[in-house]
Amino acid sequence: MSNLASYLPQDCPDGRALLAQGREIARDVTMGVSLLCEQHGVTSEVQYKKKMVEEGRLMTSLNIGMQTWAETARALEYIAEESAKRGFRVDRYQMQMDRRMGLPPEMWEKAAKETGPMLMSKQDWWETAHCAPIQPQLGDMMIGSPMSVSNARNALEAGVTYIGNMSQFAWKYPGWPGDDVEQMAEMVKAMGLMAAKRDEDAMMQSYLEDGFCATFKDYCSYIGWAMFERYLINEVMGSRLSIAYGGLTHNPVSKTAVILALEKIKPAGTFNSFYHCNTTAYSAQVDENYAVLSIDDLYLMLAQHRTKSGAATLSIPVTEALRIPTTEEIVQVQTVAHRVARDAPRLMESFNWDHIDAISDRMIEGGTRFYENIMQGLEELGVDMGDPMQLLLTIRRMGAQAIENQWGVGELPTSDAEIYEPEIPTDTFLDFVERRNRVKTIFGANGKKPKDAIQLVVGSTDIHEYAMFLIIEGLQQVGIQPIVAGTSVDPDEFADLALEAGASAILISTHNGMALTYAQQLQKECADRGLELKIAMGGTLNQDVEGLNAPIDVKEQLKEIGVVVCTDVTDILNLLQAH
Amino acid sequence: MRLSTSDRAEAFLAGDRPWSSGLLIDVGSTFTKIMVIDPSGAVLGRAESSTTIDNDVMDGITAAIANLPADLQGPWDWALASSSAAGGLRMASVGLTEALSGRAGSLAAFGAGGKVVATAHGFLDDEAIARIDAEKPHLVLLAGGLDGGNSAALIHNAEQLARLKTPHGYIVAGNASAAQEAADKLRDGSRDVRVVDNVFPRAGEIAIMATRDTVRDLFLRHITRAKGLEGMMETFRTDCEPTPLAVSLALAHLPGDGGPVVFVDLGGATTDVHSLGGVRPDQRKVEIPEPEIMRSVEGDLGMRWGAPGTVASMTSASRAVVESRLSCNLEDEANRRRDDPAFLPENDHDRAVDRALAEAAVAIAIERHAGKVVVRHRPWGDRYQVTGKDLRPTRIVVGIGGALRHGAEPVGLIGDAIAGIEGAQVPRNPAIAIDQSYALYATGLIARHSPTLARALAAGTLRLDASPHITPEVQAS
Repeated sequence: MSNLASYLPQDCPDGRALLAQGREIARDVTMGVSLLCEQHGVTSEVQYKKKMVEEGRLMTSLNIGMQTWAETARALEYIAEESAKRGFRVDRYQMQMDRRMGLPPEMWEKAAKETGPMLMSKQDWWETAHCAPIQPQLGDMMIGSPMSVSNARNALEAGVTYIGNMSQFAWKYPGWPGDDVEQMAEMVKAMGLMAAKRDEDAMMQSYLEDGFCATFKDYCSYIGWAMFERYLINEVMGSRLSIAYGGLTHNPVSKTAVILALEKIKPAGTFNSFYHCNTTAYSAQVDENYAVLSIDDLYLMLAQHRTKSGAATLSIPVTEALRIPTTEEIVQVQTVAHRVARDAPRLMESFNWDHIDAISDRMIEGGTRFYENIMQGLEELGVDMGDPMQLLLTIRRMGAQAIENQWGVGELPTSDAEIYEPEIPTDTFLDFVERRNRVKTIFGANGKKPKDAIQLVVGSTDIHEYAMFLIIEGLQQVGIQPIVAGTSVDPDEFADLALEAGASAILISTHNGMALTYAQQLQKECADRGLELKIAMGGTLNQDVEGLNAPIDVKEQLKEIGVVVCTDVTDILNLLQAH
Repeated sequence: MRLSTSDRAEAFLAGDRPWSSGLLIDVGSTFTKIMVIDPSGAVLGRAESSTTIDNDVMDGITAAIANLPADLQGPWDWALASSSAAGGLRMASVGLTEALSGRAGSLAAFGAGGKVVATAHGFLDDEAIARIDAEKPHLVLLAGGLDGGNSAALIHNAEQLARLKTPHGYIVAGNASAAQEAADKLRDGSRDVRVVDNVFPRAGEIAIMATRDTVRDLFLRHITRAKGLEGMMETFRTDCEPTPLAVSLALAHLPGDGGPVVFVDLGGATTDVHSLGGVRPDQRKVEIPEPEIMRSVEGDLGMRWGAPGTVASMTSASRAVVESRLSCNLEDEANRRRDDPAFLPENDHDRAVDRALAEAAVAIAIERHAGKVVVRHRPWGDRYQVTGKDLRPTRIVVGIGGALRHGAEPVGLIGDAIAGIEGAQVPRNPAIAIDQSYALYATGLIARHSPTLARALAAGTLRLDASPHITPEVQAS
């Protein structure tokens, strides 16, 4: 039958064959045993988690990533010793590595360096699981990257059994000459290897917010997506998925509800990896952050206790908003977490679990519908539902926003000038609603409708849409109905619409990391059409530069070429007044 | 033979005035087709003859009528007519941007049954005017600007277009705030200038109905006279509309319910595809959505004049398959057909090549008409975007045109063509029919007055076959 899913290349590699190749590689791979597992007489982290859950232990995890592996190893040793002195121990860590770990070694020198260590030798890999009795999880830049196969192999041989990161499958690796097809092929091969080691407890880890969930507006979508990832990893690729979640949710109640839902949909016999304390509610007020931390820790420990999840609580140092935390600061928050863990069990009964349970059940109900919609939708696209290449490429090319906008269980938008209305809004979406109300108030109080009719075109260069909707909302408050271009709009499209609209300005939200190139292209398109109008840009006004490890700020360059730079949505008011 | 009718068709079809026979006429570019039906929608008789546009179209009509059984040779209660003779309805479409108002205008012109002979966009200069004039359009459609948007272009272009020599009429379908002023620039006494709803009124919207109706009216008032159709219209007391428009109007009156309907009209020079439905629920605001009833014309796909274009549009892989199977050079075969448009296959080889060309033209035309994923490579990343109509749930595909009517197994041909398309949202398991009795133009003509009768006629004339190549179990209801 025809109608191969239109998102796929004509010569899409056979995903089943790639899985088989990965299984072949597995014949030569012998899994190591970490120091922690050795000390506890088990052979894998799954076994360790099982044992700890049976003992009733509440576990913790930490994030770490110094400049080099040697520094990181020393920090881990210090953390282990210092914790012991304070009377507790940390169960696991997850390493935040340099993005170059996803690239072949011959490309390391040329590619941009990022913060975080590199594992350069077999010895480095081995030490990750043996420098201290803390179990490593290697999530970043592993499976999903161009180096999926060798990274997975090195990790398994060292004794790392939770390897990530399904959610990073759509990440890009600057400098990698291959395309998304080649990258996904490497991922699928690595998954064949993981599947072959399934019965030795190799676990494919996924931190939801590293992927599509960060874009989703609905907690139902989170849960449905977790179900879909599990289908992909467990059913299609024959491995086992372990979920991690939490960084972008700052309301402890919704976070606990999501955790309960994730635990309820988890098959028996496996353990999710960790739940992350929030990363968005910390401010420069370090003392206040301790309150945020303690509340988060409490809810996460209660959830861990209630669900017997075996998924560690990952606390974030209170200074994170100010600087890269020191090792000492990591130990500090671990101390808080373990102190909270001691008190949590006796608070269990006073907690209103019915309320949270009810929310989590609604999430599962909606999530199940989202999952079914995805499965049906992909099948209708003609995707071979047993071929991991076809599945990965199709969802990668569709993108999170299109998937939620088409298959979500909330109110679906009929165009990109409308926003998806979630059934159970995420904290990020609620933050947007709050900002929207603020913009309404400010614009309502300060805005005067310009005397003459004024035509404004508003849109976004990429999938980020919140800022665009804030601008629309603000303009409507001052009585202007802007012409909405929508999201992922290209310069020629903006120019065409502005010309048809007789617009006097184009207001653009951009987060594509190429603000300057984009602005220059737009100016050219406008000039080609004889259009004279103002271009205003807001959002993340930066530009990726080859050879530099972080994008550079281009606000000044934008001003120089005549773009009106907006650092806040209220800057639009000035633009209107100037009109 | 008695060439007369009792009254205009609407006098009978709109109410319940009794009648016993109606005459339907299509003056095609090569053949004039006629059909006589009764009030139940049953075909009492049909016939055809060569079109005689160069002298008097009535000669061809009379000859066709003479081929009917004696008791059907008139008089009739009413008659309806369509025509695509003498090159059809030549239209020029002018917009402000090619991608937005330009495209909306072209879609509207195609939808009205026009042959779009020239397009232009931007602020027209003398060169553009000369280029349009050289194509001798009958009608010019002028679009540009959202409602309340750009007005300068519409007014400037109207000023420029007023200098055209050939058009009988102008349709201003641009920015409503500037349309009257633009129309005034075009009015110099001799031309019929109409202002209609903007084809591109708001971002992400298209509105073609007002243009369609106005094009029909202008065709009736002015073009039919130029084509010598007024004798026929007087004799039979009927209007006459562009054949592609009549065919389009039949889309909504086929048997069954639900799902899009697709017509593919495979001609010697071009291949038309008409579709009803399949519009995506989610639309980008910076693109023109497809109209509910959409007609696309592939000027490079055909069986004779269009044969070289058909071959050039085939993938090298599918060309190689055909060439090795039939041991032929497709380019040579196509050129032979282009050089002799009256070419008729005489042996199995010629028939097999014709079939391969037909299958390719049908497949490519439907593929272009249907939705697909378009990838755009930009410095800030690739965008994969689904655009176009989703025709997968299509209920019926109908094949029209001589090549399909006379081919050995046209239903299988269309089934093969569709099954061979990859990567586009084309019909998945439609029922397939061939318009063997040329009933679709008639269905569309009648539909304007009596949808019930139109439905009955279509149901009686189209034999719906499930394609053996697609889903044998699907049968027409």
